[in-house]
This record gives sequence, C-alpha cells and structure tokens, in this order.
Amino acid sequence: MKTKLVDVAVVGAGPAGLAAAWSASEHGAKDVLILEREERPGGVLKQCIHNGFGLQYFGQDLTGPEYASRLLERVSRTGADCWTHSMVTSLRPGELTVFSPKHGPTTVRAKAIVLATGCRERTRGNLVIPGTRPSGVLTAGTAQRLVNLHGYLPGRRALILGSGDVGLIMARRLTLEGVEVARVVELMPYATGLPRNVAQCLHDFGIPLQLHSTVTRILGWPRLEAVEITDLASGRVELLSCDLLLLSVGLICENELVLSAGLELDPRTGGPYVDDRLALPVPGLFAAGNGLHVSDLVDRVTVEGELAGLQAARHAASGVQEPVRRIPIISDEGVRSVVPQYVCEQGPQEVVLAIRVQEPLRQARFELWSSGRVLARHTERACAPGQLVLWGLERRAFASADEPCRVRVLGEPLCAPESAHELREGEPQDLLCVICPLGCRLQVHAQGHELLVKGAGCPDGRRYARDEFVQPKRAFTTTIPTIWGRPLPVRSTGGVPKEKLLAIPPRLASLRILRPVKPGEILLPDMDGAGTALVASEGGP
Amino acid sequence: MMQANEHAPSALYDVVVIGGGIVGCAVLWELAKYDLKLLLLERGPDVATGISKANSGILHTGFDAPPGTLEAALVTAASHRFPDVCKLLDVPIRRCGAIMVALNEEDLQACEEVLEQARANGVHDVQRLSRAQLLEMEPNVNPCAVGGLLIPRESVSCSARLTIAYAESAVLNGAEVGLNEPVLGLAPTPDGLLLQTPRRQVQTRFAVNAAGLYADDVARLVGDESFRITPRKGEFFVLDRHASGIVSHIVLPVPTPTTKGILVAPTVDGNLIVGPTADDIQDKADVATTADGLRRVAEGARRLVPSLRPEQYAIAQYAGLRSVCSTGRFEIRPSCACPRLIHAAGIRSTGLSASPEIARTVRELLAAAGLSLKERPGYRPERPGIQRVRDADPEQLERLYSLDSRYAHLVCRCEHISEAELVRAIHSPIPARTLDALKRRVRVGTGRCQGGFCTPRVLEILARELGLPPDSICKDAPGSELLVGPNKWRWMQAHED
Repeated sequence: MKTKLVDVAVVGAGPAGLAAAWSASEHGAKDVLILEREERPGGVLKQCIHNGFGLQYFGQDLTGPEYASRLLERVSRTGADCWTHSMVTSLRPGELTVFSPKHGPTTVRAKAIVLATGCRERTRGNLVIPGTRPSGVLTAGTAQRLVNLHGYLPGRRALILGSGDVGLIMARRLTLEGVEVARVVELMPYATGLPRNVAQCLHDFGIPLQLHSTVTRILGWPRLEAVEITDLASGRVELLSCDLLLLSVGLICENELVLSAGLELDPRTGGPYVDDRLALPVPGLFAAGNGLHVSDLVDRVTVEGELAGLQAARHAASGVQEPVRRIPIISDEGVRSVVPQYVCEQGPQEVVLAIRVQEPLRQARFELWSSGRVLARHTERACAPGQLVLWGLERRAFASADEPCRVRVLGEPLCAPESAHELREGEPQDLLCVICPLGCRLQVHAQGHELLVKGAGCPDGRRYARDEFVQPKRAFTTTIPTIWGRPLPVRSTGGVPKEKLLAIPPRLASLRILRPVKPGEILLPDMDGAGTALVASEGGP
Repeated sequence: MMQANEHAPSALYDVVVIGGGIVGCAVLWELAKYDLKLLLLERGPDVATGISKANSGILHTGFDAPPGTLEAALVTAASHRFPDVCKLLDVPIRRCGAIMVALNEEDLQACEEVLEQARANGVHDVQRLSRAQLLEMEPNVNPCAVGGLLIPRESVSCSARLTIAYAESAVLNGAEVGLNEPVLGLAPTPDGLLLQTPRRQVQTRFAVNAAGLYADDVARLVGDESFRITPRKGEFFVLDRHASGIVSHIVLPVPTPTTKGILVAPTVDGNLIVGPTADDIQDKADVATTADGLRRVAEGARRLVPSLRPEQYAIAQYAGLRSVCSTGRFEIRPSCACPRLIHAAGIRSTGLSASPEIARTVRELLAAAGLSLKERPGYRPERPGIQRVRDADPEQLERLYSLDSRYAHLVCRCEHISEAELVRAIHSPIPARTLDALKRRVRVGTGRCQGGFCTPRVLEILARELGLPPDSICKDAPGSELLVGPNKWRWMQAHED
C-alpha cells in the first residue's frame, strides 16, 4: 500500500471537518488532507437545502448549501487538499487506512488527526418495530438525500415517526413536493425538535403532531401499506394507511474509527472522551462535530471544528506537551451529557461546557460542584434535550477541585409543547412563541394603531408576535431539476407570505435549469407576484 | 439421449426444476454436471427469496436428527461434503462448533439422550462438557448451567449465498434460470410434462418439485394430494458486530419434544443472530415479525446468555418460514400421480444442511426413472465468487485496485463493500437487479446503518448499470420500487391537467 505523509489529516468534509482543515491551515499546518467518503465536500449540509443556518456564526440566514460553500471557499484559499470518494476504514495512532478510487488503497501518516465523522440515523432495526419488511421504510435523512440530491420522491403519503429536526424538516419538504404528510408521531410527551421547526414545518401546513405515541407495527408487502400507531397513555391502537414511513428517531455518532483504535466511547454521548482541547486520550488525535456529540446547530459545530483544527496544528508543529492534570467532568442529576469530559488544569481562561439536559426544564439552574462544594452556577430560562446548553466558565473554577467535578441541573418541568398542540386549532391571534423552548402562548390584540402582546416572557417574544401578526413570512426553498442530473437547490431572496407557500411549487413545476448557474444567480425575478426572486443556493454543474 | 428431441417442440428440456430455493438450486447444480438441457423456474424475482433467504444459516452435522430417517442419513452424509462444496463454489463457511447448555438435571438427562441419538446417527465426535469446561469455552453463558455437550463440527454458512452459488455454477455450465416465472400448470404428456408459466409453455421429460412451501400446490397440479405443507414461522434478531464477542460457538438450549428452541449463533459474516421461534401459521406468505415473537426470542436468548440483551444490539429482525410436511418426513420420491415428477419436498429445517445429498438423491431417482446421465463435456466445477475487499490482504487489494479502481471506492460504510463488487454482482451469471438481490450477494446494506448510507448510492449504481430510471429499481418483488417518481410529479401532473 502507498503511504502519504501529512501534517494534519481530517476525516470528513462536513462543517466540522472543513472548519478544522481551514483552522489547521490558518494556524500553520503545512500539509492538510481532508478525507471525504462522499462525492463532494459539504457533509449533510449539501442535502439541507432549507434556511436557518449561520445566524450565529455568519450573522446571516443561510441555506445548508450556502453555509457549506462559505466554509469551502475558506478552505480553498488555504493549501488543504480534499480526497473525495475516499473512505477511512481504520485508525491507529498517527495512521489512517484509506480507500480511494483515485489514489488507491493508501496509508495516510499524520502528525495530528481530526475526526469529524458526523453521525448516522437510528434505524427501524434499532427500534425493533415488528411487522413486514416492505419498501417505503426509510430514515428521514436518507429520504432527504433522495429528494434533495437525487431529485426523487420515496412515497405518496407519509407518516413520520419522531419529531427530531430532520423529521420536521422533511415533513415540510415533502409537503412542498406534493407528498401528503399524514402525521408526525412522537414517543415523548413533547416535540424533540426545535420549536421553530415545529411551528414552521408542521403548524404552517396543518400537519398534526401526535405526542406520546409510537409505531408498533408495519404492514404491507412488497410496498408499505399501513402502520399501526399506539397511543402510550391510553393504549389506543390505530391503523393509518401510508406508503412511506420516515424515521427521525435519533442520531448516533459515527465512531467505528475510534473503536478500531481500541479507544472507548462515552455511553452518554456515543462519542469519544475528550478534554477541553477536544483531544482524545491518544496524543495527536482530536474530534469535533456530530461524531463527538450530536449538536443542535451547525454554527456550534463550526466553532468546535475550528478548535480541533487549531489544536491539531499546534500538535503537528511541536508535539505539544500533554497536560499535567485533567479534571474529569461527570454528568449528574438531570444532565444527559457534558462535553468535554475532561478539563485541563492549564489553558485559556475560559472553558465552555456543552450540556444536554434529560428533560425540558424552565428556570434551569446548573451547578458545577465537587467534594460537596458548588464551584459555579448558571441559569437558563428554559432548555430542552434537543438543544445544547453552552456554559462558559473560568478555568480556575475547575482548578480548585480536588476530585472530579459534577454538573447537575435543577428546574421545573416544562411542558409547553403540549400547548403547541392545542394552539394549532386556536384563534388566529393565538401564537406559539418559537424563540426559545419555553414556548410561551402569545396573544396579540390590535388596539387602535397599537398591537398589544400578552403572554410573552421577553422582548424577543413580543417582537416575534408582532411580526407574525402583521405578516408572517417564510423563506421558501426547494430544488429545481437540471439537465446535468443533480437537482439545483434554490431559495427565495426574502420572505414569502406564509399562506402563499403552497401556491409556489405548482408554479415552479415546469421549471428546468438548462445552463450552468452561479451561486446566488437570480433564476426568477418574481416568483410569487410580489417581487420575491428565486436564486440559486449553489452553483452547478 | 438427444434423439428424443427430434419429434418434440423446440424448447424440450430434459429436466425442469420448480423452485429456486436451496433445494432446487442444489438439484440444478447436481444435474448440471451431466449433459442435460436444464431449466429452473422460480416465482420470485431472484433465487433464494423464500425459505432460503431467512434462516439460521447453520450447517448441521445431523447429531440431533431423528435416527433412522432419510433426513438423518442425508444430513450426516452432507456434513462431510460441505468443506469441499463451499470451497468449489466459493461460499464462506465457518466451523465454529456448537455447545448445548443444560440448565438443570433434567436438561442433563436430555443431553444424554441427544448424545445417544448423535451416536446412532454416526456423529461420534459429540462430547460431554462439565460446567467448568462449558464456562471456560463460553464465559458468558448462564452461570446456572450444570453441564452440556460440545458438537465440534457444527458450522455456519450463508444459505442465500450457497443457493445463489449452486444456481450460478449450473448457469455457468449451461443451465437456464427463469425468474418471476411461477408454474401455473403442470400436465403429464406421453413422454414427459408440459409446464405453463405466465410467459410460456415448457415441454420437459422430467420435472423436480422443489417448491418449498408451495410443493403441495405443485403436486396438486398433477392430482397428487399425498402430502400437505404448512408454514412454521421463526423470528430472529440480527445483532451488531459489536456484540460478536459475546459467544463464539453456536449456543443451543436442550431441545424439547416440540422445538429445538431459541439459540444464539455467530453468522459467517461476524454478527450474532438470536432465534428462532416456532409458530405454526396459515399464510405461506406471512414473514412479518411480531412483538410477541421477538419478545420470546429475547427471553430465550437471555436464558442461555443472561448478559445478552438483543434489543440493545439489534440492527435488524426478520422472520422465515419452515415447510412442515403433513407426513412428518422428507418427501423425496417420484409423485404417485406422475412418475416423471420427482418431489424434493417437506424439507422442514435442514434444507441447507442436506442440500448436496438431497440433490444426489434426486439425481439417482431421475436416473432410475430413465434419465440417462452422461458427463457434461467441459464441465467447470469451480464457481468463482465475487472477491471482497473487506477480506483482501494489502497485496490482494493492490491487485484488485490495478484491475479496477472501483475496488477502492467503498459504497457501503458498515460492511466496506466496494462499487466494483456491486457492479460484478449486477453482471453476474444470475444478475442482481434489485437492492435485496445485491444484499444477498455482496451484503451491501446489511450492517449497522441498514442501508441508511448506501441505499441512495446503490440505487444510482443499479440504475446506471441496468440502464433504467432510478424510480424503476425495486427493493425486492415487483411493486417494491423505492422511489415513486421525480420530485414535483404531482405538481407536474396538475400542470398537465
């Protein structure tokens, strides 16, 4: 087998990997090689054609392809190389085995390695749903790829199991492509995706969300014909006819490589154990992104990738000395997971803990404690398991601990999403606030020229209520068939009135892209009769 | 032999085999060694789509077969042939051995009976195990175990891949295979049989009834009602490779008079499977798993290996059917109603284990009925399989890569299956035209993500290689297309209206 020597090797060209490669180059790494198993870089962002990315990191509302192309542009300005169609099959300290059709089977030796392997979806087999094994049962992300990158629909009438973000996004996406989404069914008594997605993917289109229920049987062969839904509270069983079952029931960090190196995984995250430099217990090995722990926002993944890239560059340059002492951070009461799992005694002043809670909470009070002593406190107005709580602390808070530090959270149970359910049928001026997981019920009244907002817990909520009352607008995204095969992701330049969303796709039905387009190119100057333009989210072919 | 052809319709076959399961394909393979015109008719979209695709994959030694039966004789004889058969046909086989776990004194007594039975069947290498020996060999079995048996030659293979290999070897030697071609009519003629399929009429001198669950239906076509076949369902869990270290042998419970019980077994691909149940059902097409069945499988597994929680490691569940014969035995004989139809039916659960010997028996019956057997000139006994990059050492890998760079393009993230392997399977002697056909041949999509990663890619490769639009590619049987149409097809329809 051929051998290739590099300073930093990055496994995965998704947002974490691209950020890591850029950052490693920026911080002086000479030879940076990204290994990507797919046909082109960008990771899952390629198929996330919807908007909502980049508000934190770029300060702009971007689609997935737009976000990916920004990261790619930065990487392309450095000397980093990217091998596509290239899968890493095993990891030993400082060494990767790579299968690449262009370069052949290769051993890549790297002074530092960043694992940015992303995550995969839980399957029907993991859930143990009994029944037949027909076509029409897919994970939501696989369906998203088929629709957005291949341009084909996997069914006519869908049921979505799981209210995770991918499932919610797919509910809207399929609806806009003419697939009937009969229902979203969620095991938990609350929606697990972001409130914004519940509002804008389900409520906007009148798609029912059935909580505290699950699919208990799959029927039909060779094509799915129906699923059996059981309401866990009442035990009521119902058959619902559909030819597509999408599963959005959780993500699993991809860590075969970590295991192949003989390292352990944290059962709480499914990712490797890292310290606050994102370093694994083997020198020169770093991890970032959804392969480390499943994140809620790509912006966060990007920042993490940058940190891993920086650390990898440093390690490659000098073979950084391993820290003297690492203080273990243990997830305690109410906390599902904390990353990093270790904090080094020495390092930059601030340490950020990414915490996932077990249950939705209001007035959540986080505590870092050790040897019976509380070292630091932090409060969040509301938080839910679907989101990461980021808590910035001073490093010296940890340094004073003699024993492992524990993170716990106390708060009142939050069941706002149930109100979301009721409100769907409510009066038009009743709104569910999507600004935070608190999910305040908002009421808007016009009084003369003034709009009065009741029920909002914060100024952001009041602003949201006014905007929604005056004219609720949504960005519109879809794909357009092209002569070169792969569909072109497109978006509206501004917001489209919410009630007009479903009127747009039929108008675009006969649109074909017949010539190469540049990213951001205007394809239709006025797509909705109100001057909103349709632009390309990425270039092609 | 060929003189018979002169006054007959153009498509005169010497033997038509009905059914492309392990038995039918083994018979075809056996007969292809001779200078015969052969056809196999299969109702499904591929060979190995019925019983033969969903079972335990265990190659039995015959230690527990009912002594004195044809089944016992065939299974024990076949068990000595498998290492050679699998080598010739390039099918994986793993001699992992089996242990039978006695959990109490009663079980120990039953083990003694099993030991006697094994000896009666000529399986002399079965040994008693003390509790200490048992726990040393398999530290994770139930610590309540009091002893047991070791059956060293019990092995595992893959029944679907062996079925395909039998059929492909036959095709390489001139046999024909008709897929999606159920036999709808079967009528004796003066010098043979006339078969009706949806596509054609087929004239043959002899036919072999290897229709598995439907063997009684085929027999009935010639008025033979001498046996009935009913389905008995068995449900299984497939576990992640991460669980494969839990046991290394096939771990068996002590059988009861009604069932061999729920076992834990390694697969030839390095997973563990747990199962099966044994439930008599009515519908021959019912291969749905059930909540109750899977619960019983999980319980059964925990009885043998308490630390094994199938739900925790589950990557897939499936159900298969056994063909239970009303006569309670192998029906390998000429039909009483039509001597030119040879039954190979009632093969309840040892079809894989007995297959080469069932085939030999059928060949002898055909010869006795007047089929003349002359060796096929230029017969090729070896059937090369598809080289897997997963198993290749660095040197082999370099060679494969220099042959076809697509060997270094991995399409399946879990099982590390390359594009070249898929392309070869699509263009193999019995071409894989569906996702499941590829799965059976090269295991694409059988890993822990269950096709989450590879499905769109495999669809694309199938469409490209077959020159078909992606929305015509099926998962399995016709009607199982994975895609219903291009995006916006409904809007486009509305547009056209």
